Amino acid sequence: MKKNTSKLLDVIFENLIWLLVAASLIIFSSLSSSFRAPNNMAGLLYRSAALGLLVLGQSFTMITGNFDLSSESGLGLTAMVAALALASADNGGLGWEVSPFVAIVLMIGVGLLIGLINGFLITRLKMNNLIVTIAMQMILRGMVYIISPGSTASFFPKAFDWLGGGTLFKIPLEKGFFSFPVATLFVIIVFIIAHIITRYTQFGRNMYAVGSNLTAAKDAGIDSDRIVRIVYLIDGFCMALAGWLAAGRIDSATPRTGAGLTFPVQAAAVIGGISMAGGRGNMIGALGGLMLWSILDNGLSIIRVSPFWIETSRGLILLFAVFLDAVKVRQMHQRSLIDILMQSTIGLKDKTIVKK
Amino acid sequence: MKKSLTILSVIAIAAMLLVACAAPAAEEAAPAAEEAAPVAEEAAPAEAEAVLVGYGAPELSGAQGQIMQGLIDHAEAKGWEVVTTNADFDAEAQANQMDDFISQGVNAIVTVPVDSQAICASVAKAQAAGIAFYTIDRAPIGCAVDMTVQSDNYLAGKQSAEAVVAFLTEKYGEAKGTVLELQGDLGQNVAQLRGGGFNDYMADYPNVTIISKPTEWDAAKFSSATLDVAGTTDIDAIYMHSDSVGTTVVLAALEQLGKKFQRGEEGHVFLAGVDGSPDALQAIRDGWSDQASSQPIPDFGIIADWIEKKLAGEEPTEGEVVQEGALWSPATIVLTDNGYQLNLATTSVSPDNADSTALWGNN
Repeated sequence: MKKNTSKLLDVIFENLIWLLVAASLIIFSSLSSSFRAPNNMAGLLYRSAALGLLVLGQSFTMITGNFDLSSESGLGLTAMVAALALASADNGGLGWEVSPFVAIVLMIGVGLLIGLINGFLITRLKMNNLIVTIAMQMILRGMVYIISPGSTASFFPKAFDWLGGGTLFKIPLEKGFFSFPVATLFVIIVFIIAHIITRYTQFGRNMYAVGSNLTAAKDAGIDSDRIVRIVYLIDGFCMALAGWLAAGRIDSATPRTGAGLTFPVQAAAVIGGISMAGGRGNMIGALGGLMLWSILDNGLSIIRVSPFWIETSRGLILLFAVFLDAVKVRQMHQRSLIDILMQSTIGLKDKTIVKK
Repeated sequence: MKKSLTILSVIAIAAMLLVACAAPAAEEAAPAAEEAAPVAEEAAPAEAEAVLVGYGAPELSGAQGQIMQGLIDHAEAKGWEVVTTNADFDAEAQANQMDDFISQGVNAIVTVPVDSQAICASVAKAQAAGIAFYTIDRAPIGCAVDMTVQSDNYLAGKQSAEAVVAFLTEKYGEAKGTVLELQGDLGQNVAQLRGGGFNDYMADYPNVTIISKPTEWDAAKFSSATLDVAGTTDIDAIYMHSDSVGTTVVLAALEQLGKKFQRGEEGHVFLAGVDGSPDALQAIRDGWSDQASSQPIPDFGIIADWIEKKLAGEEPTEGEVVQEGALWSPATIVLTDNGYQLNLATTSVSPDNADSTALWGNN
């Protein structure tokens, strides 16, 4: 009985993020009819779609025990590259007016290149991942200003904007329409794909192995450097997708597009249960972290809470997430100690012996 | 047991956190929900009992706080309610805030766009939802809003140019010399107009060399451009597209270069700018600065008059708007590709009128 209760609590503990998501949805829905309006609900992930892709990339790197602080600038650069290629000279572009397909290929190429450079510097040159990506954040933002000379490029073909700003379907309502954003579905799909990769493939298992115990992973014959390089490539790919979503969302790329997202990215990933120490967390949890972030942003704004309170609540939630992470780590250490003692030849079979 | 207690305490903290988040909301939410709901449900805003206006600030430092307060004052004088947000320089955050206004079913959105082009996606959405859209201080580029109220930025640039020319003529007997122009963000029409009014006037004085440096309204760039140019060239005057951003840092940069002299002293660099900020007016009184084209900032809130007309089904008409005794008068309404623009007159401030309490910088 006690074991069952403990298991139930474990399940609750593991899925706490979804309980928080459900609780916040219920609270805000009961406080505001505007919040529970179908269009607003469907827009919850749409508004943070670009952030979501960065959270995804960050989660990949964090699971392997690394960080990426360059992604906000990577988003900015890929968005600006596509924008300059797409927009007419009158609208801040280079006047090339390439097709959306070419622009997307171009921005994905830039994203992959950023990932390649990050991975190379970290694994081949053995440079510290934190400092490398901080430096890259500055370099990439600088490049945005260099290529854009400080101005905005806007007004792209509809096909390019479809992913970030388009509507999947519209249903007529009594007043107006219910429209379902493409970006909402896109974010859900990519998180599911990422979950399958990390949970059900050998590559995914290797990622966790590298993140939780690098030495053991190496001893087991895992090419950890290769895993990390691939992870940064995926991260770069995510930056480009985020750039595409962000530029499509506002039909523009400004020199500051993506600026300031670094902390929300870390926060949403950690709130979603991705461990700062590596090797733990899953993509569905990260999606929950993103949703909670988005619900707070939208819900608090709709019920007219002062922007200062919104910032404060985000900080509190982040603190709470780190606290949870610390509790989890302590719990795991305790369990592994029990397991070691139980498997030892001393013959200890009763768990209570090792409990204080 | 200990573990269970830990987990239970964690869940308890989570619940408390959520309540804490909701607590300040609950206080405000009750009237909000009551008032917002009927607005959202009734299709014709003019028939709604309470008018709800969404105001999106791009940031809240400098003059932006005064602009927001001006709108709130004018709207509340009509018995309206204003919901405010702050995008903190982030165009995407502003797009989210505009979405929130649409979700709340506001009658009109008023915003100072973070980016004149990027705001167009939100304008299209609001218009599709039947919500009137107004901008203050900056017109959109690439789309049309119901109306933009702004200072006559071209006039402001011209007023500063007139003062610079008068100074150079007095100094050299003719208009000649070198002027540093510290530009704003050239992606915004406000900077283009402030530059246009200044440069068009200066074009009649070919012996004046103008060195233009973009700053994107960034104080650090105002400083570095001043250090770079004034450190290597003898300049006679500096024209700042924004004296609220520039006055303090530009004077500090001149001091660092050993080139900060008061009016009347040899080597004094003539300082002119647009905004008429408290800093600039104080610097004029102290003799460090010389001219400011003061914006009628709190009066931007008169956009509420045009919102009221729009909600009653009345469209603006082009022409002059005059109000006896108002600093912004005469104003002009013109129809442009970006919608109607209400251009309010700026006031040229010199040492003679820098004490006037009618100026926003002195209030």
